[in-house]
Amino acid sequence: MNPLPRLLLATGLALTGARAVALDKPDVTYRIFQFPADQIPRIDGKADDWAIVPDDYAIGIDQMVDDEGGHTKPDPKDLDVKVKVGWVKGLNRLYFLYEAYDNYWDFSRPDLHNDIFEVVVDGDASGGPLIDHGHADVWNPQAVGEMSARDPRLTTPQLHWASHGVQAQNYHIFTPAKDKDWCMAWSSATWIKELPWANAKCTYDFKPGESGKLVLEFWITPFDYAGPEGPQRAVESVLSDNKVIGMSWAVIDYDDVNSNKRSFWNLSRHHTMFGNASQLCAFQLMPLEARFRPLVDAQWSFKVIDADARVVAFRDQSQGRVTSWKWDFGDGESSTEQNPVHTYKQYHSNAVVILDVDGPDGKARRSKVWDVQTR
Amino acid sequence: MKIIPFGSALAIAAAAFIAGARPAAALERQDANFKIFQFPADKIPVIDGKGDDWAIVPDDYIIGSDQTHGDSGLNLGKSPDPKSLDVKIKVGWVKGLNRLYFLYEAYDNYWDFTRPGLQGDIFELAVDGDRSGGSFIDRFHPDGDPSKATDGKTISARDGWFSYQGNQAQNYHIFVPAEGKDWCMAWGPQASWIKKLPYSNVAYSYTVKQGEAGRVTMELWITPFDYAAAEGPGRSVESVLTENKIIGVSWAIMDSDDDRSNAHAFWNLSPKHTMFGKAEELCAFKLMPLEPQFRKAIDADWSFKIINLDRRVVAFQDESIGKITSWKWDFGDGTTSAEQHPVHTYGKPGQFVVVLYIEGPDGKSRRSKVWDVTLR
Repeated sequence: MNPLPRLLLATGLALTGARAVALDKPDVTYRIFQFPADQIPRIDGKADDWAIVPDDYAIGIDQMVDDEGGHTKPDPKDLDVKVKVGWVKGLNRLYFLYEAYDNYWDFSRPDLHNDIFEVVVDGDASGGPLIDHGHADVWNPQAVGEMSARDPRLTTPQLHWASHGVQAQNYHIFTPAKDKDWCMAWSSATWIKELPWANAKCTYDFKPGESGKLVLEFWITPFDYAGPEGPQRAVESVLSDNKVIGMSWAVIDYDDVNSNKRSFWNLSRHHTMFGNASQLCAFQLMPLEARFRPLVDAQWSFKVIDADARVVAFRDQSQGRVTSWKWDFGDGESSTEQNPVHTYKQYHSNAVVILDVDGPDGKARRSKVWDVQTR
Repeated sequence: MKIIPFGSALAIAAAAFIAGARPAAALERQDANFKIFQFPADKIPVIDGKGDDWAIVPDDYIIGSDQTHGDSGLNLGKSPDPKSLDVKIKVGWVKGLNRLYFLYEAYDNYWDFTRPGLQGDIFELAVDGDRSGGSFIDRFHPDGDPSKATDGKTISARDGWFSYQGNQAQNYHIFVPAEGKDWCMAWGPQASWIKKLPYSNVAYSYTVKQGEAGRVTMELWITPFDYAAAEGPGRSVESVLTENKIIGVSWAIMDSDDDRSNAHAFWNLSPKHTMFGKAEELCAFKLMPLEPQFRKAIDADWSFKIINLDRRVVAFQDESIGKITSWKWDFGDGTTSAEQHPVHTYGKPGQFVVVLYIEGPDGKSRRSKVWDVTLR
């Protein structure tokens, strides 16, 4: 955050160095709840569809430190925040529920002076600085080591457009946003804050300067690469079970519309996490909780290994305790292997392939009609 | 649908098709005005198999089985009988998402869904997201039916499938409901990826058992593609959905009332039987604007394009809603404009807070974007 003075508190913590190998807080791995595909939250600013998320997924203000405003500990009468993060297998989106009480909501100005939920995400945990070289608070030898050296052959525009927010993204989300876009996507790719990559909705019933409770619900799409050219050249981060991603946030709390004094409640112990993805915390994309899974569920996928020879590899992806597998390949042949490789004798575009599984908790079947096609 | 006997319907369809080289000038159902409801972004349906989040969709969006006709097999020439089968369908979309949402609410006097293959009750859905028309299944390939190729003058069966089927329009055979099988047969070489998240999602709710009468509710989304490649989404191009765009859609409700038979009734929304593989035989569906109750009377919004980065020339586009009589742009560099769509040249680099103020008989509104306009 360039325009306002960043304090030196965090610089000391960052002294260890260049491009950290480990994420912040080696002792803590925050968890991202997996929603079933039939319970994806509706972004309506209401918390009801998050009731299925257990409380131990919630991250409270007790996990955050004010590294700018001088508070030594949180005071829930001044500001209280609870955050839940979710994902859906098959969608490369991170869902957030942000519930906050503030004794003074500051949101009447059109600029960056606004109560803000600043989220930084590095979807492949590749680390490194994510804001452009103009920011000396991140690009200095203490924080990033030799990387801070400036090569005079590279122009400022080139360094900005090629680096800022490209490999990890920073969103300044206005809580709430009135008469302005829902966030400042602090990136050379500003398109990332629009549908289908993002969606947000806030509910509240206070006026500027009043106290009260706010509920913000949103999703964002993390990108391994997001450039100013637009989504056609961008690459979404692929979210998968148990993957660890880098993420942190700060709750920026103004309590006077006429003063730039603010608190910066940071989840990371490094102030400059807003611009350095090596200082983010570890968040794990959790598997589906057991209560959302059938005891036995037959699932499988396949890959055509050799199209000309019509060799197909089948992969069992069934859930639960399975002791026997029976594959019907749809050409009169079958197998009892778990992960068989089958060679079809001729061109097929209409094979019905069936996997039947059995185990102590019951049996299940999954057929795919005409998916398996051989040339 | 190779394995299903069409009976004399083929002859009827063939006669109807003689008229035309592809693509036909008009889509089918000039008599109807099929509408696709626009959901606001904060009311996107949750795919949970329940119809509650569709209550905001007005009744005139409903397309019932009374709009279909029996065109083959068991129901040739018949009219739908709601005591045997009664289906109500609503179609929706969300501006900014290239998805078509469907709510399918059906009563059937005999639900058939336990067989693992292409039998049973099926909702066959064909979509042409850019309304480019033309055939899109191998049997209707312009070089002839590849499965009957014997003389080398037609393409091979494999090319008819892998480089043609489902490429420019898509056909889904959706099992209602699906038990022990994937939710649909996606009819083409895209099957391994197109019927999964994020491109589609489906949920059902029902209590009926095989052979019983009762109700099934199904909710789903699919993603239409201008080009859907066998190789996967990396080589594919989603159809872009925009307000007032007309797309080609049709469906047939394939009703099986006997689990020992492969015969279906085929209740078709299009008057042309072969709509399942000929996109010019689909019906016209319109992507509707937001209904008035979901729009503000006046709401400021805008976008911008950097025309020339070296000279820092930025074109601003007003996208506000409502009756507007005056615009004021604050470019964030100390200058302003009263034009509706100004082009502004910035004197120096920086990150700017740009605000559009509008006014009209219904009030005023403003929209700021913080640092979206960043110039170096």
